[in-house]
Amino acid sequence: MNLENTKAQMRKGVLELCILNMLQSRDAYANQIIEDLKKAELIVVEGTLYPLLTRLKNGGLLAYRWEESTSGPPRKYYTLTELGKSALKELHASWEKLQEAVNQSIEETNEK
Amino acid sequence: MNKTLNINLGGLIFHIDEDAFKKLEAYLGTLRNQFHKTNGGDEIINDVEHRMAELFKERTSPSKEVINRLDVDEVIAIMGKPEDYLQEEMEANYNSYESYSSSKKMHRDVDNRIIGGVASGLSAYFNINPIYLRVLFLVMLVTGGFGFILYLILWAVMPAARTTAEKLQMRGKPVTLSNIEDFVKEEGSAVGRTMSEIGGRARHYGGRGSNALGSFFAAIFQLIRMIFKFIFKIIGFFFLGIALIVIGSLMLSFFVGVEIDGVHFGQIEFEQAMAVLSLDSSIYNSIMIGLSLIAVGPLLLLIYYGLRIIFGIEPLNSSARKGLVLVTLAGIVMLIVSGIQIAQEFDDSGYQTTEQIVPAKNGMIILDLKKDSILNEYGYYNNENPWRIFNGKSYFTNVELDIKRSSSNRSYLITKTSAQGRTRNQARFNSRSLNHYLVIDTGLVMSSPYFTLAEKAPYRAQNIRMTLYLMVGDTVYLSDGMESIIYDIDNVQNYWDPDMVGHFWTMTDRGLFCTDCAESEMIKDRWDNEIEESEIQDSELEEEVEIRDGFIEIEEKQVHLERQNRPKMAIMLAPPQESFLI
Repeated sequence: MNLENTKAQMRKGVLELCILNMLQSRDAYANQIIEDLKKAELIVVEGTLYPLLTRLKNGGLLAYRWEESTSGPPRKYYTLTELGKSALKELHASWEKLQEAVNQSIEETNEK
Repeated sequence: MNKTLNINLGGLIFHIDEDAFKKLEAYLGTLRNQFHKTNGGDEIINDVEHRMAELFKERTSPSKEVINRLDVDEVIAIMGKPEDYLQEEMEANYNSYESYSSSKKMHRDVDNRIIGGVASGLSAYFNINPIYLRVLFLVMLVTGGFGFILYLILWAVMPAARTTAEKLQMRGKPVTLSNIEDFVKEEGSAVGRTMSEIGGRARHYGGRGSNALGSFFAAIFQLIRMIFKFIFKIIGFFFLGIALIVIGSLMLSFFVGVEIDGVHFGQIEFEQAMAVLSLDSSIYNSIMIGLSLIAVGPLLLLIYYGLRIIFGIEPLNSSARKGLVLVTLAGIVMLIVSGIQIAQEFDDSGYQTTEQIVPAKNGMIILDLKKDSILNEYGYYNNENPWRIFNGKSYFTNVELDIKRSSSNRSYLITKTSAQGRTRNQARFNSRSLNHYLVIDTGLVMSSPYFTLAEKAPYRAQNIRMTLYLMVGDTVYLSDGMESIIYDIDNVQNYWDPDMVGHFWTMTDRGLFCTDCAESEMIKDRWDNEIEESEIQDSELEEEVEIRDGFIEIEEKQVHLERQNRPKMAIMLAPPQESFLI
C-alpha cells in the first residue's frame, strides 16, 4: 500500500479549490501561486501545477493576460472568470460539507 | 573546457553546456511526449519552459553566464519528474486517450429543436449556425417539397441525443469527465436563462435569433412545429377513435345486430346459424376463438399507436410485435380449420323424390300458397333471403315450383328434396329431415312457401323442387302469392313469373298458354320485349361493327324479321276462346 499516493490524491482533490480561492482576492502568475502552495505544502514539485492551470483555463474557470516583467520574460497572470467564481463557491460548499462529514465520521467512530 | 550551445527557452537566450543541454532536451522531450495528446498540451509545455527559463535566469549572473548540468538538475528537481506530472494528470490523460477513440456522431439536438431537432443536430455536427440549415430546409420545402421528405428521413434516421455523452458526441467534444461537467453546468445555466425568460416565448426566440430575420424564422418554425405536433396528435386520436369505433360497433352489431339490405344480423342470428348448422361445440368454439384472435391484434395495435402518438409511450418491442402476429395467424388458422370442417359437412349431395297424382276438377287445378302469420311477417316474394328467423325458429324459403307438360294422360306432382352431407347417405338422410306443408286434393295443390327443419336436424342446404307435370288440356290457376315459389315456368306468351299469377294457364302441345290474358296486352308485351331484346342485340353487336361492316347488316335484318314475325305467330297460335272452361 502506497500511502504517498493516497496523500497525493487527497491533496489533489483540494488543489483546484485552493488555486481558485487564491485567485479570488488577486490575480497572480504561476510563480506566485506555486510559492503559496509550496508554503502550504500542498505541492511538492512545480511541474504538477502547469497542467492543472491549463485545465482550469480550458474549462473556462480561469483566464490569463500577459504582463511584462522587470526581471525576465513576460508573465502569465491568471484571473478568475465568472464561471470560476461560481465554481469556487460550489467547490467551497462541497469542501465544507466534506470536511464536516469526515470530521463527524471520525469523531463518531472514536467515541464508540 | 566544455562546449556550449545557445538555446532559446521561453523567449530568453541561454548559454548551456552540452551535457546539460542533453539532459534538458531529454526532460522536455519526455514531457512533450507525455502531453502531446492532452488538450492544451503545447500550452503546458510552454508554461513549463517559461518557468524553467525564470529559474535558469535566477541561476545566471554576469559572473556565471553558462548553465551547467547542476543547474539543470536543480531546476528539474523543482519542477518535478515527468512521472509527477503524469500522476497529477492521470485522470485527464486517461480521458484524453479515450477522446480520440470517440469520434463525432450525428444526433438530433432535441434540446434546441424547432420540429425534430434535425437542423440543430446537423449544425452541431458541422459546427455551423442552425438558422442556415433551417432556411435551407424551408427553401427545399417550398420548392417541390423535397425538404419535407428529406427532413422526415433524417428525423427517422438520426437518433436523438438524450444522454450527456450523446450530446457531447453530437458537438464533437470528447466524452471526458470535465467536458461532461462543463456541459452539465452550461445546460444548467441555460435552463436558468430559459426559466427567467418564461415571461414570453417570443422574447426567448427573439433573444436566440441575433437579428430580426432570425426571430422571424424562429417564429415560423415554432408555428410549423405546433402544427406538426397538432397533426400528430390528431392522427393519434384518429387511430384511437378507429379502434374504439371498431370495438364498439363489433360489440353493438353482435349484441344488438345490424340491418344489411333489410336483413337483420346479430347475436340471435349468429346463435341460430350455429344451432341450425348443428356444429360440434369444438367447431363453434374454434370459430369464436379464431374470430377474437384475429380481431385482437389490429385493435391492440391501433390503440397502442394512438396512445403512443398522443402520449409518446415506448415503442412495442419486437417480441410483442411477433406475439401479435402469431396471435392473428393462429386466429386465421383456426378459422380455416373450422371452415374446412364445416365444408366437409357439405361435401356430398343426396336427394329423394316423391310422386303424387294430382286429380283435376273439371280439368282445373288451383295452385295455392298456404298463407300464415309467418308469411305475413316477411312478405311474399323473398327469394333473395332463403333463411328467416321467427320466434327463435328458422324457416327456409328454398321452395320452388315449376310446371311442365306431362307425357302421360294424367297430371302429377314430383317433389324432389335434396340436401348436402358428409356422405351420400348422410345427405339423403338430411334431405328427409325437414317439414314442409303440402296438400294435394282434387283440383288443389297447396304448398307452404317455406320448410322447417325436423327436430335437431342440421341445416345442410336442403331445398325443395316441386314440378307439376300437367296433362295436355288441363288448366291451372296460379293463386295470389304463388309468385314466391314459382320459378321460371316456360309459357307460350313468355310471361315472367310474377305476371303469371292471377291467370289461367292451359297446357297445350306447344306449352303452357294463358287463356284469360288480353290479346292486345300480349302483343304489346311481346313488342316491348322485342324492342328490349333488339336493343340488347344491337349494343352487343356494336363491338363487331368496327371489325366487319357486312356483318351488322345481316344481324340487323334478322332482328327486323323477328320483330315482324313473332307477334303474328302469337296471334295465330291463340286457340278459340270458347274452348276454355272456367
